[in-house]
Amino acid sequence: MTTWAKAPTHRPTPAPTPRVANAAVTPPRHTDVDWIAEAVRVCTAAAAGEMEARILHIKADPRTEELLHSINHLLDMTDAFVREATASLQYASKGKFFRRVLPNGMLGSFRQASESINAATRGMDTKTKELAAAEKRRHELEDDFRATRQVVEKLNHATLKIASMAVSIERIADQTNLLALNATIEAARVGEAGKGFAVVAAEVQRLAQRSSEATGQIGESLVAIREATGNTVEAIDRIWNILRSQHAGSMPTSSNGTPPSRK
Amino acid sequence: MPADTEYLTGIERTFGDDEIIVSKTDTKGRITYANRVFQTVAGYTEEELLGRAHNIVRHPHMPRCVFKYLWNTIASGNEVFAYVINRAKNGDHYWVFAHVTPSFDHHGRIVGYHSNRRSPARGAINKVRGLYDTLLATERKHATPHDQWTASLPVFTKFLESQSTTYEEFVFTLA
Repeated sequence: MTTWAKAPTHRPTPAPTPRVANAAVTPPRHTDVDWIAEAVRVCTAAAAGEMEARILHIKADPRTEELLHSINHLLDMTDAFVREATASLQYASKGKFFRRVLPNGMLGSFRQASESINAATRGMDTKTKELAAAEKRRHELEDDFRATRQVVEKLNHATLKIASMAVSIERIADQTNLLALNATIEAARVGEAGKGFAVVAAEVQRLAQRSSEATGQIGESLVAIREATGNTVEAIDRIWNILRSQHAGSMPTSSNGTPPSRK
Repeated sequence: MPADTEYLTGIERTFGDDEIIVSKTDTKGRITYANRVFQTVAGYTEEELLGRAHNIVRHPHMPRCVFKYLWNTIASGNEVFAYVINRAKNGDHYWVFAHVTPSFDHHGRIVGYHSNRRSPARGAINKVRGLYDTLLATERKHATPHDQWTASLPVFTKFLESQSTTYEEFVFTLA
């Protein structure tokens, strides 16, 4: 209830002209006013979602006046609820959840609906924060994947280098073998004096063969390593694509759907 | 304006939590509708209010920059909230938590403004009063309304920055 120390009593000035807020037409003088028609006009507008119209300059018998004021009051409450609900939901749609429907002045169903909207925006607020946390974790995961993929790629490069080194060793072993063969022939030509040298040459030839065998084993191991790293890259790319499909549009990817390497 | 518009009684009026002061204005801020709660609390009749500028209830303790901010906001099509002290016709005052929204036509054009004023929480008034006193102190150093809000608006902005919040969030933390 309205309360204050001293209520002023100001009577309305006479000869009011009945009007409707924002109405384009000028209604007749109050003595001729068809209040029922006014009420119908405002209510029809409100039912069509036009909440601006109000009955102005109400001057009739007390019961009619009360009816007309009640219509304005109903419109004010409905108008207030619509504005509140609209504002709150507009803010929520922009990701701002502090704009709650003000419960003050909202009674009964208006109050219940306001509280439902507020509960919904609170829920959206919580969910949005959870999503943001999950997004952060996903970004961390993304970084980890990038780093892991990079490590595996480095490993791949290293095996390629080892393979080329093995080829060099193989070639050296072949040449050593040839040299040892030549040495054996030369040793045979000098007869008895070259016998000791022939033993050394044979030993060198044996070593060259062993080198050749070892490089062959390295080659086999490299094939196994390359297969393993290839499988690892495939697995990373598969997980990456799953992550990406869950958060389409939010993850940067290279054109072939693999995680971009961090340079 | 009559000379007695600055006269103050120091008596505060209040209205109920379940009541809303409602008014509508045209785009120039002239009142086109004032509900009965408004008429009763402000002490004006409908006839006295209709067609008058809404600042008919302006209280001298209200910083001009708040209204400047308010009008800038609603004229750009947005809603605005403000704690406002108003002056009743006889010089009494009453605090409101005002929510002002533009009213749009079917083409999305602003055809007027609508204000719902609720009874504010006591704690909120006490908090906002300190800020308003600071703003008023700045404004009193200047003569014209324009100079007043030009001087106090940066103080207002700086205050919000110091709270690291936007105006709308600040207002809602008080509510």
